[in-house]
Amino acid sequence: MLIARARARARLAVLGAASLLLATPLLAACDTGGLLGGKAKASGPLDCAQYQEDTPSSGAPLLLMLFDVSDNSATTAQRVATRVQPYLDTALADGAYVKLVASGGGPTTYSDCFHGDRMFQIKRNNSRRAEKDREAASKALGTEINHVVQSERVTSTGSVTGLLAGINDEVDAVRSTPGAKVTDVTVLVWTDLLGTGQDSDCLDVDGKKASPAIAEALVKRCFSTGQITSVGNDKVRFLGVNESAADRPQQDLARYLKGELCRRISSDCG
Amino acid sequence: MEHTHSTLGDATFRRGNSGVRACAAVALAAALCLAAGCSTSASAAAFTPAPHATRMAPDVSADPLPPLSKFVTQPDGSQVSTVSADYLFESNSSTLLPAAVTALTQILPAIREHPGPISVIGYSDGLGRAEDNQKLSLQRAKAVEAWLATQDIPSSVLDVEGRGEQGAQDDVADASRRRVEIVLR
Repeated sequence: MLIARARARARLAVLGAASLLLATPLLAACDTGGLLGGKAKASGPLDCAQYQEDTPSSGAPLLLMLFDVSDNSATTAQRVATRVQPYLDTALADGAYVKLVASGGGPTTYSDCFHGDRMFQIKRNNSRRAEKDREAASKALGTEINHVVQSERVTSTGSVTGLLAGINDEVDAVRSTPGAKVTDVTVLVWTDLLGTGQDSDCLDVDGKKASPAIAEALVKRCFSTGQITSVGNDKVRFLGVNESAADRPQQDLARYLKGELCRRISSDCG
Repeated sequence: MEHTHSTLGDATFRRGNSGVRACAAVALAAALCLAAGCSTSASAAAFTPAPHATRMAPDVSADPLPPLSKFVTQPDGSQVSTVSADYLFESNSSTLLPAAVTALTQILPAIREHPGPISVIGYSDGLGRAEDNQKLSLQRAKAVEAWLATQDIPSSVLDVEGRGEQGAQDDVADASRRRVEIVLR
């Protein structure tokens, strides 16, 4: 009888261990944010809270990403993700608020992941662990960027004007978030600067000539009509100009426009 | 005795078996519950892209004015060819663009035939710090000079000058001021 009980206990132990072995990888593979009361996003494909930390008292920089999506193909989405990846990696290492606003020509859309209300950062006591977790986070956030681009509904006309016009408001919105303390601001603008649409849009380049004088006149009008305003000392980086298929005149005009916009929009622009 | 033991043993085992089964069922249910309760990459796999669409490409025409084509004779008898720096360089850069080389190639014959000294002069607009603009205008002139040197134009006949914001309105972006002049003296 004693032997039987011992056997039974042994089998019970084995089954218990088996159950544990079954549960562990399931738990390890899943994002426990939802289980443990973390902030789960109902509509987002990724719970980004797992890559966030409390902001230190000294504050944190803001990375504002503006995507003027003129092509939502998987190829373009990957290109965008690749170009912003270094900035995300820096954010994950050093800590930064990250906000993403996109437009495919229609209304602007906001990312479920990159709200700008909490600081992204991966901090671990073990440096190797930190490195591994940052790599994983970087990959996940890159995929999120890719999905944002592919999810954007692209209309036949549009331009980056609206996104550029909203920079100061977006930055102010983050600054006014309770508990947020923003230090430096970096604005990444993904656009090909080949806007089309209404004549009233100062960056509608349809029917224009590819010359520095035309680019200068277009951008002057943007600022004189208040369609775009300066962002002062905030750092602005234009990504995506002449990175997709465009003919020579389009490439030239986009390049001139980038130069003209940079001269007027910020003291630190490239 | 053995039978009794065996019976007891069986009885114990059966009790143990049902307990173990119950335990296993509970553990399995818990595991499945946990798995169901957590969000996994399955949600990422459920990602559905918007219908593929691209913006209509704008119709942009080429600038009919060649950036560097002919020399204009000045009152002092020298000849000057002016090119917008925006044609030759990226904003805030002094590295010649590939298109700039194509443009400069157009004036090579006139430069080769010129027997006297040749000046390359850079200018900037009035935006930004005057020192930075002075430096940039000189670097750009030097970039053009360096390219001319690669085309077997003797450096002894070339001189470079950076005139920065000279003639430009302070703090005003002005494309017409951002230029490089090549002067045949």
